[in-house]
Amino acid sequence: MTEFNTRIAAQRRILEIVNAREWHEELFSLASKAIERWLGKNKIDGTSELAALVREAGAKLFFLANKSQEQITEDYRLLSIELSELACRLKNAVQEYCQ
Amino acid sequence: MESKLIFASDGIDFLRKLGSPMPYIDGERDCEKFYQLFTESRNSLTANTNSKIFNLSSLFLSIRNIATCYSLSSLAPVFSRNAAFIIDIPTPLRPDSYILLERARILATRGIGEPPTDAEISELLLDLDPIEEWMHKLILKVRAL
Repeated sequence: MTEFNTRIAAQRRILEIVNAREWHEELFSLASKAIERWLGKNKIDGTSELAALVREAGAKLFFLANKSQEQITEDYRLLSIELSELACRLKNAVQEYCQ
Repeated sequence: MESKLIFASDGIDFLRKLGSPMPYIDGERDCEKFYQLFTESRNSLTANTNSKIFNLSSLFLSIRNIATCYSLSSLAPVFSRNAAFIIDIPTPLRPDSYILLERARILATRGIGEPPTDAEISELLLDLDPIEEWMHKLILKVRAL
């Protein structure tokens, strides 16, 4: 699997965790404009832990997308560990979020 | 050249000094990458009830980009967002379905628009088998170049 496909699969995994809960409107992607739309449509507090974790996941994936191929291997290894941890924290934050 | 120097304070045209780009040699690998994106997005779309817009958006990306990579390999580059309809082996996707995928792409990247309904998505799913065959054709032709 290329790094491009791995990055999309990682994004899909995060979205499936967030969208496991029934929102008024689901999260369409981890692009910043999609995240802000999702926060607004679901009236989610922008300062909540949930909002912070979703923004963090987006920032990590897009940071990696802008790296050159030479830089990517070691960065990706570290980032995939961070994303796994983030996915666990997100799972809890989604379950615990009270509107 | 796609870029043209308008002004340089030292008068040196550094764009011209860059010379011609290297020939594009990753066509087969790139086409396979977007074919993989297509199959994963379709599988996820049929297996999961959530994140449908993201998967539709990824389908759009796979169809547009495989067409562009194919066109580059064939030395007839098309960078239009409608590249899939313009290349010499055009996509069999119905224009309505393509517009629906494009709507999903704009929702996912810019957060703008109205999400497609479940009925629209169900209809689109019926339209995807010929796309897989079309992608195979493109990959086979790139391999033969």
